[in-house]
Amino acid sequence: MSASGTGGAATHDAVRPDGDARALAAALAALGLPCNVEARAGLAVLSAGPASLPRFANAGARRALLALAATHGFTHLAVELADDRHFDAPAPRAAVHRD
Amino acid sequence: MTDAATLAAEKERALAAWLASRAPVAIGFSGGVDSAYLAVVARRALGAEGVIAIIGRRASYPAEQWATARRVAEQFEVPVLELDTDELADPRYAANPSNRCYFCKTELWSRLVPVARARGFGTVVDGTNADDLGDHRPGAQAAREHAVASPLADLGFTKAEIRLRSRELGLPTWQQPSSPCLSSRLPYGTGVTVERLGQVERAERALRALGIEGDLRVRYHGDLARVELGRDTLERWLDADNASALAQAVRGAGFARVALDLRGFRSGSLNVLHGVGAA
Repeated sequence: MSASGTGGAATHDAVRPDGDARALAAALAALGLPCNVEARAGLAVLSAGPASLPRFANAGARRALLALAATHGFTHLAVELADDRHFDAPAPRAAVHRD
Repeated sequence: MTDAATLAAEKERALAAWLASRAPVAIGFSGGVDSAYLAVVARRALGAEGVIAIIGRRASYPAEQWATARRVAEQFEVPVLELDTDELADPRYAANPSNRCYFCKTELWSRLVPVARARGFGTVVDGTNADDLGDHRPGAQAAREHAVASPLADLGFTKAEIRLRSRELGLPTWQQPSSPCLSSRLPYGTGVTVERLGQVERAERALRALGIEGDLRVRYHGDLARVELGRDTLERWLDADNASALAQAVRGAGFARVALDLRGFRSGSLNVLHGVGAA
């Protein structure tokens, strides 16, 4: 087996820095969409409660939100589907655990 | 016949000729769109004695895809051989670096090629197509190192042409979504384990049971599952009741939290997240 280049050696991948969760949250609040923003490297997880889901249903609105997230350093944007039984806006969490 | 259909048919004739000139042929067979098409064309061109489709069974291979592979082989009378691979035993693979696929394919071909040659199949091929050539594909180097050929790529077959010809041949895989191995659901740097693979597989199976068709990925982010759906189905699942059912299904697979990706399915999504591009 070749030990050259990217083949035989395990690539040591750099950790992508977190996007700016605070700035994105402020921008969303200014648009009338207050929510917690959790940064996991390039992924922003929005926690806004079940009642907010219709805000994301429109394709144009989603495109605008994705563009907004990109300006704050995020490549991915996801909305959390909270457990309806005991939804509670979560506090911002630390970066994702890595092995 | 349209120009596209004519071109695809011409390529298929060239493929049959390519295979005939190198028979007998062993195919690395997963039951995905590409290898299924390749196996059926080979069977038609070479007969049952001239081809064998070899399935590598491993923890990252979805059970549904194995079932599809067996169905296709049975329907089109393609001889099949199964062998077990154990890439998880390689810590370089299990660490899940961005060239993980190199170690996976090395494990596969290092087992498959000798088995094929021992049975008299001097030519070993895979289902890589021309559209794959621009992607981040560290597994391709492993194929080259083991002298595995990629006739679909060499003859310029696009995915669209493979689907078009598959439909003409009556293959049930013609409109099957792409189905990479389950390890592709784990971000680079998150160790690949049997437990994590099983978790994402259970989650995806539960979502299929809800009626989600087309592109679907459950991306693993530790306690959080990020669900990518086809963009044409995303809106439906942002309805409160549907979202609740979706979340419940994924939590049932063992995830504490569930999030729906607002862009929808993106091939190579985790490559983008890690800033990994094509070589």
